[in-house]
Amino acid sequence: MLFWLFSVNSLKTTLQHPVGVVLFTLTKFVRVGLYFLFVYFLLSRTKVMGEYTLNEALIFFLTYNLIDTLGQFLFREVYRFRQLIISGDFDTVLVKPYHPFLRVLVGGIDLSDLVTIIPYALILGYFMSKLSSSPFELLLFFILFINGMLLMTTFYIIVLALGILTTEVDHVTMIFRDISRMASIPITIYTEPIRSLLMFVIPIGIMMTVPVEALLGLLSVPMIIISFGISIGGFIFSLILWNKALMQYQSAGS
Amino acid sequence: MFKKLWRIFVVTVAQYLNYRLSFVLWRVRNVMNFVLIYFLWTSVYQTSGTLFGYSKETMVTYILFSNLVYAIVLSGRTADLAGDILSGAIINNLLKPISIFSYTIARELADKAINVGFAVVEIGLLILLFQPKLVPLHDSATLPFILLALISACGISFFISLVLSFIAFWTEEVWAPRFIFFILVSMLSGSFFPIDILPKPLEIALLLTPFPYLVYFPAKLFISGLQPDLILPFVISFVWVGVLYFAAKNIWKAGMKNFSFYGR
Repeated sequence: MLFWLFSVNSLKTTLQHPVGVVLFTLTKFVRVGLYFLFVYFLLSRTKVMGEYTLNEALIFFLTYNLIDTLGQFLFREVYRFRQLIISGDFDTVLVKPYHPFLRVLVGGIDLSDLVTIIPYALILGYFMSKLSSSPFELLLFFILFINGMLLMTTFYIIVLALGILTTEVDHVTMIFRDISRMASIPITIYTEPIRSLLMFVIPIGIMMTVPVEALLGLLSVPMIIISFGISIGGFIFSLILWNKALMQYQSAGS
Repeated sequence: MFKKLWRIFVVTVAQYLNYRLSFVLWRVRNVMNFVLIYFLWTSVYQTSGTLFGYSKETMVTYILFSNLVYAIVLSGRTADLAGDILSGAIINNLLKPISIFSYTIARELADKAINVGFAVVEIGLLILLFQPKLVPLHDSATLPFILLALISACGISFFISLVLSFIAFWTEEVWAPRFIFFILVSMLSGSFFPIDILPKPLEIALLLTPFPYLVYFPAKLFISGLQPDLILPFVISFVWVGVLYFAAKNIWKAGMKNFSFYGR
């Protein structure tokens, strides 16, 4: 109920600037369109994808886009967290009788991302329908997709914690987004040690590549277990870090 | 006069160093961006020695040099003007005994000095770390032309950025147009890939826009030298500088007539 109220308020605030919403939304389509053309061009003219077909490569690309955009849509408020910290207004969030994540993590959904999610999901569905995946592989894809979203949530909680400890939010978020762009093509394409780094240390591979590998029937049972292990372990770590950071919060701005 | 500009330069540098963690993370982000593109291309070259007419060595050299060009051309503080216009703070600069454009250029140069200084060190460290095979400068006679291309690129970037900031005279929606510009630059300026790997009609169409002259053109001169087919693009780049200069000048004049502020 509170999430709904925050979301409605966020949408109302965004709609105060309708021209901005339209321009931002169009630009996001242009960005994805241009990047899509580049990836398509690169993959169709080279042998970089190895055993993957072009259709499969596009599913990797679209899955990356959908997860990335869902993260932007749900966690947009994180980008405004620094202002709350340096102004001291975070105090007013902490004294409210609800979990602060409701406000600082998911309290500002982004309309321009919501508009883009639907076509991305439809296009992904179209390319997925061209595969002959079994119902089990499809189910595994959805479960690992949700697992990827859990990892995304973990990352944003870590950013919030770092925001309290250092007042630095923007650059950390953008570094993560830049790195996650590497998952627009399968992580397995990269040479070692980058591949392992992106799979296990900054696990964008688990977030974005592993679900598609499950869909294509390429994922081993140990890798599935490792994926869940890293996500759950990471999530617990992020909550511990958040609690530690809260202990350090000094309300410096107020 | 020079002393005043020098002080503005020094203060701008000091402002950067004030927020040290933010500064360090900003540099980390720049390094990461280069590393990401580097690994993408080295992975692409795993299966083939030459792609799109570029050997691996030439492509890596292009990516390295375009990274440096990006730091020189696209760094700047002109975007701050939009915020100053919206908040009315620009009046403080208009009242100072120094032209607002001299002030902006001094800050722009400070920003470029920091960016270029750090970019050179970072690229040097990355070369030491990855030890990639690089191709040397095509020929030393090209150097003056690279310098000219860089001046033209800085001009295009500066005037576009000014025009985008001057939008604030009429509307509060200043960040969306800048976001559009940033997206177009990131994909079409050549910082991600050389423009001439695209199909010929697309390459020609892009060369009619200002974007390839920001990064691709100076970097291409570095690896290919001044080939006859690059002379026309050279002319086009300076035409863009002229067009954008007059656009910025006229928009500024119109904006100043339209501008009013209160509460200060």
